[in-house]
Amino acid sequence: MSLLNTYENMQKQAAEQQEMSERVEVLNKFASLAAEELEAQYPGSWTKEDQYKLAAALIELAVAQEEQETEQQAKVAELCESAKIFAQEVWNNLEAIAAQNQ
Amino acid sequence: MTLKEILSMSQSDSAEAAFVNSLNAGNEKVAEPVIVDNEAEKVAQIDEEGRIFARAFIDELDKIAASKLEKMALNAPPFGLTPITPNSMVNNQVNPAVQLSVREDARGPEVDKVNAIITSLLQDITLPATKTYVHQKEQVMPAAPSPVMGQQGTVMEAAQAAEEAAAVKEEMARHASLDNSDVVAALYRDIFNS
Repeated sequence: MSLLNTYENMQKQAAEQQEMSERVEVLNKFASLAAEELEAQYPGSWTKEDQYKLAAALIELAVAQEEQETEQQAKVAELCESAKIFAQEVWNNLEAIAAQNQ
Repeated sequence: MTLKEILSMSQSDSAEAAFVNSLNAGNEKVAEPVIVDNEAEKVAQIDEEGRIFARAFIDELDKIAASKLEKMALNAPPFGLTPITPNSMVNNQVNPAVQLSVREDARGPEVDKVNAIITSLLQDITLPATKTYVHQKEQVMPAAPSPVMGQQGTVMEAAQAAEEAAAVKEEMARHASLDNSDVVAALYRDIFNS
């Protein structure tokens, strides 16, 4: 194996490691949140399975919210873009009318 | 068949009249507005979209107007080139109120910027003064140092307490991460390896 291949493999592994650690960090946050919530609601009487279920539900909810937010942002951006074009056209027409009147 | 005859038929009890009446009834049914359950939601959504559109529209018009004004200001001749005549001195004595208004308009953004900076600086200065010991219901306020206790002892005790608190926090974090590890592993397996 050439040195270049070794270098590329190392880069790939590092990127994978980074991605994995980021994922684990996010999952850990959700797991901690679930544990905190369960402890607050049912102190001392919850299991790991409950924690897993709640964390999974929270992740699902977060993903759905993010998707909805992205969709809404796209819609708002589209509306703003239309409004800008509309405003530019209105301004151009007003200028043209003013020029004609002069 | 004339219109009069059709009308008279619809008022009689014949089979044709029944047919015409049923047709009319059918038409009336079609003309009825169809009530949609989520009609209010749709209206609200359209209203929201209209507001966003209107706001973006006005913003864009403001921007265009501002840029046009800026260009006009840049293209305006400098004051030094205006010929000074005896009458111009008189003509320059315009209404002070109008002059002030124009100056305010021209320097408005700058003045606003300066005011914003001053406000932010003042806020920064007053920040420590406005800090209050607002605390949660169950939060324990730090006890005031006893006058009998020396300053050295207080500092040492505080340092020791901080060290202990940090150790406890670290232990709790380690414990929490250890506890979560199996749940995190299961979540990882189900979400990313499925």
